[in-house]
This record gives sequence, C-alpha cells and structure tokens, in this order.
Amino acid sequence: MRPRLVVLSAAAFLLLPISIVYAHERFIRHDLKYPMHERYFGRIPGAFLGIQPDMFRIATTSCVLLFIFLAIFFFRQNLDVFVEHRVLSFLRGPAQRFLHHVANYLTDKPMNLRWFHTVGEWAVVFFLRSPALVLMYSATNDSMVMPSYPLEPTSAIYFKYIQVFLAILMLTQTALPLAGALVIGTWIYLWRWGWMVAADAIPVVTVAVLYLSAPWQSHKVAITEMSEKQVKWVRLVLGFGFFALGWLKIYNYHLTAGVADNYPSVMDDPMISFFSVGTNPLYRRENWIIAFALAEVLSGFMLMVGVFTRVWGSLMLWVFTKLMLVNFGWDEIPHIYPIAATMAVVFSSKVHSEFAFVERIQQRLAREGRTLLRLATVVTASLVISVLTVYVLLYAFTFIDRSHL
Amino acid sequence: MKFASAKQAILLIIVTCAGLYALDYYKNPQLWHHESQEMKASGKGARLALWMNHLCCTGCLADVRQALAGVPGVDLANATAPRQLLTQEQANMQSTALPDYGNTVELPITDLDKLDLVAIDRALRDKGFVAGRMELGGVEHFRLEAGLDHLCCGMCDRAVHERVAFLKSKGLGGQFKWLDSVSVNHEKKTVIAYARFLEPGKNVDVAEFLSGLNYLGYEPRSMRVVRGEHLQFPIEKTPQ
Repeated sequence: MRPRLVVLSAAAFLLLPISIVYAHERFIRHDLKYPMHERYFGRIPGAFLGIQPDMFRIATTSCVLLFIFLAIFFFRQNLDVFVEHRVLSFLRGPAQRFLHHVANYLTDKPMNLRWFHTVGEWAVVFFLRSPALVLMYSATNDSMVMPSYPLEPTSAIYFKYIQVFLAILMLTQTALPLAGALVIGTWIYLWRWGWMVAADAIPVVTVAVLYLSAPWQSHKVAITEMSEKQVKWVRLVLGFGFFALGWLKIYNYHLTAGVADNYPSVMDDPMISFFSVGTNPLYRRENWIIAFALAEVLSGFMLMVGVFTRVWGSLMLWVFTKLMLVNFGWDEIPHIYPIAATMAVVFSSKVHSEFAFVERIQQRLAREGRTLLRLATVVTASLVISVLTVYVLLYAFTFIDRSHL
Repeated sequence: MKFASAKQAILLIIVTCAGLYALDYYKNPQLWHHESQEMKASGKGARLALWMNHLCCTGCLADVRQALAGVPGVDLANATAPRQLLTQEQANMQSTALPDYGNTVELPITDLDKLDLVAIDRALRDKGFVAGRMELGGVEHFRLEAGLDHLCCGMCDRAVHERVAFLKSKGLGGQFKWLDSVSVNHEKKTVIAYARFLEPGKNVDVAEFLSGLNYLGYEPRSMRVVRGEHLQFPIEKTPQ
C-alpha cells in the first residue's frame, strides 16, 4: 500500500467517529445531589477577563506555582552546584552521597543506585502487564476498557472475549505490537461514544507506545527497561492524558461535582485546598472543581514537558494511591494502571525535558557573563508558558454554556 | 529481532477499529438507526413514537395495540409497527436471537387537543407495559400542560420550579435539552413545560417530563400537548 494511501485511510478512520451518534443509554449519569451555581462557570460582567473572581484566584495561584517550578527547573544545574558544592560542601561520606542522590532524584538526573534500578525494572514489568488486570476487571463487570463504560447486552459477550484475548497477549507478553494496535484501535472506537469518553481514556493509550515498539517475538525477551525514546513518548502521552483530563473536569463540571457529592472525602485533600486558599466558601464545590482540575492540569503538564518529572510523578503516585485506597476504595481499582505507568517514568534514569533548550540558552548566557539577559530569558519563558497553560482554556471555557452537559 | 513497521501498525489499528465498528453496527443496530428514523418521520405531521423496552414479537404488539385501542387523539389503524417482528412461534424457538428486545410503535396524532400522555402511560401500564420513551415529533412549537391535583401551597409551587431546574442541570445524558422553562399555575393546578423550537425531523422524549414529575413526588392526572400559536419567547407567555 502506498504511504499516502495509508495516511489517508488512517485519517479517514480518525475522523469517522467524530460524527454524533445516538447513544445516551450508555452514558453514565453523574449523581449530582445539590444544584450547582451555574453562573460561576460562565461570563461574569465586570470581572477581570469575565472570569469569576474565585476561579481567577485559583488560576493565579496555579499560574504562580507553575512559574516558580519552571524558573527553578531552568536553574536546576546552578542550584544543584550551589547546594552541593557551596552550602553543604562540608558534608562527607554517606551524608554527601545521600544528598547527591536526593539532588539527582529531584532534578531528574540519572540515578546511580542499585535498588532504584531494580524498582525501575519491576515498574516496567508492572506497567507492561497492569492493563491486562484492568481489562479483565472490566470484562467481568460487563464494561469496555474502563468500568465506567458499560457494554450493550447484545454485544457484551464479544467485546468481553476480545478484552480477555488482549489481556492474555499482555500477560504472556505475546505479539505485543498486535496488542498495541488493538489498544489504539479500541481507543479510536471509543470515539463512537463521544469525544469526552475518548479523552477520558487517553492514558490507556500510553502503554501502546511500549507495545508497538516491542519486537514481534516479544515473548522471547525480558522487557525490563525503556529506551530514551520510549520514556519520552510514555511521558508525553501519559502527561497529555492527565492534562486533558484536568481540563475535562472543568468543562464537564457537573460530572466532577457529582463525584464529590458521592465521595465527599475527596474535597478534604490538603493539596487541593492549597489551590483554593482565600476563596469564597459559598462556592466551595465550584472552587474545589477548579482547584482539583488545575492541580491535574499542572501535574499533567509538568509530566508531559518533563519539568520536575520525578517530583510531580511522585505526587501523582501519592494521589492515585490515596484515591484508590482511601477515597473511592475498590471502585477505583483500575487506578493500578496509571500508578504503574507513573512508576515506570519516575523510576527511569532516562527522563529528559522538552524545555531543555531554555536551560541551554540560560547556561550559554551564563558563560558569556550576560546575567540580566539570562534572568530575563528564564523569567519570560516561565511567564509565557505559565500564562498560556493556565489562562487560555480557562478563559475560552467561560464562553461555552456547559450547564446542559 | 523483527519489529513492527509503521505500515503494519497502522494497518492493524485500522483493522481493529473497523472490526469493532462493524461488530457494534451489526449487534446494536438500534443505536445507529435512530437518526435515520427521525429523518423519516419529518414531513409526516405530528407523531408520537413509543419506544418500548420490550416489544419482541407479534404477541407483544397485539397487546400494545389492545392497550392503546381506546386512547383518544391517535390513529391506531395507521400506526407504524416495527418491521421484521418475530411471530410468537418464532419467538418460542430457543435458537432465535434478537439484536434487541425493544422496538418502536409510531402513532400518527389525529387530534393534539385530545391527546393525553398520562392516559397513554396508564393504558400501557394496565396491560403490563411501560413506554421507555414517548417521542413527540412534527410539532415545532409546543408546551406540555400537566394537571397536578396536589399543589396546595407556595412551597409546592416553588418545589416544582426549583427541582425541575435541578433535574435539567442533572440531565447529563441529554435529558431535558428540549425544555426551555417551567411555570406553575396555582389556581388551575397545572405545571406548564415550555419546549424549545423543535427542528423538523427531530423529536423529543416527553416521557422525561412525566417521569421527572414522578421523581419530584407528583403524580399528574393528565398531560396535554398544546401547540404554540406563534413565535414568541416562551417565558414571556408565563402567567404571572
């Protein structure tokens, strides 16, 4: 087949499911227990940018946080040298080595520790196989890929067998490129149920990166490590998945509030509360939605672009584990999969940043002794990235009436 | 060691996706053909389509027809019954499979003033059926007038108003999209649901309003479809 024909066919298939199909029977309703303040999410006359002041405050907190993290990241080499070789230069022996490892971990540098490498190997094995557990769990719950998408009784049996077949490929590490194609093909099929369903399932595609780049005879090799390219793509897809999910939480705010109504303990998270400090308690649920969503946007973005990947990955591991074990319990057992994926990235020694060029410019200017320009470069880059990441979509969403979703 | 080429990967993805779509189309045709049924209904005048979650054979259809025999406002003789309906004998055979047990009966509306949705619902329930959806089409501007005997105080009035608004915002699956506003006439003991403009060929599930009132704790004695006279923003017509 000619390459152009292949590309055209793929594009046609990607566009095909965008057509609206009638399927409201399958859409899982949220269980909103109290009405929302609908005006909060729309245009507010007289407010800056027309954004509700509490929402704007949370966004500004997120923007400042992102700016600080970016600025520190761009100076990470200098800060590392300053702390290790100036401030704590008196340390010797195990204490010095410990400090060095902590610094490497925090600044996304390669880790030269045997146990770290072993955990990393295990995380890759866990990541390769964990989707099989989710698929088997979904199949036994008459659902597709995720337990929140129930299957139509008339076709359930076929989809369940397909999921079991795919799970067997994953568990036995057989013909992994086929497993990868099945995962992506299934994800494209999910568009049939609407773009929000497909967006919700983006993190599932992450593992397909690893599968598609594995050899056909994958059952004969021990896959315990990811290449630099694989780590990069896993990080990009996984990060983008959570970035998109964060925005989806704001777009489809009724659903997010419905979750909070059913599991009120999720609203008591100290990290999320930090984002909504100083906001009007009258809009507690609305503020929580924005804070929760922007926390996810931020962590997804950092993971995607490789800024403090390990720090944000560790935070995500903590949140996923807490949601699975404390807040939602057994219902959230499929969180095993994002935990495995995040672990595989966090415990890799091959994490790099998409913004490494800013660091390189900063270091070149430092060598040339142009301190002011160096500072201006870092501040401007951090500011532009932070503002674009946080405010653009938030502002755009205020023009869309989502009260009927 | 052989790896998958880009061509192989794309081909496998396309085959997987096409396979899943084909399987879904073949096994769940009722989920795909809804839009075309809507388009078919355009230009046929006012019609009420009853989606029965259970209507598998000619025996079921006969009982539905019997239930609707005395209902005024609809033309049962010209009702469009589902095609390819199994006979009772065929349905008795264990090997017979159906893509879905549900089916639609489409009723032409002869007299909108006489049509009472509560009467239709009761007639079906008395015969052992429940209409999953009551889809009204072919009426561009209309309002639903539900008679509620229990509207004893201001709190009852406000409850209808506020709780229907809540149900509307809760309708994530697209429920109540057609509903523009609701008003309560305390003296006449009626709740009026103003529908948005209904595009030709489209229909709305008016059973949502019936089950919505039930959910709020009210049992309407009647629910009539009143045709809108002229283009006007519905809220302006609300009696104060």
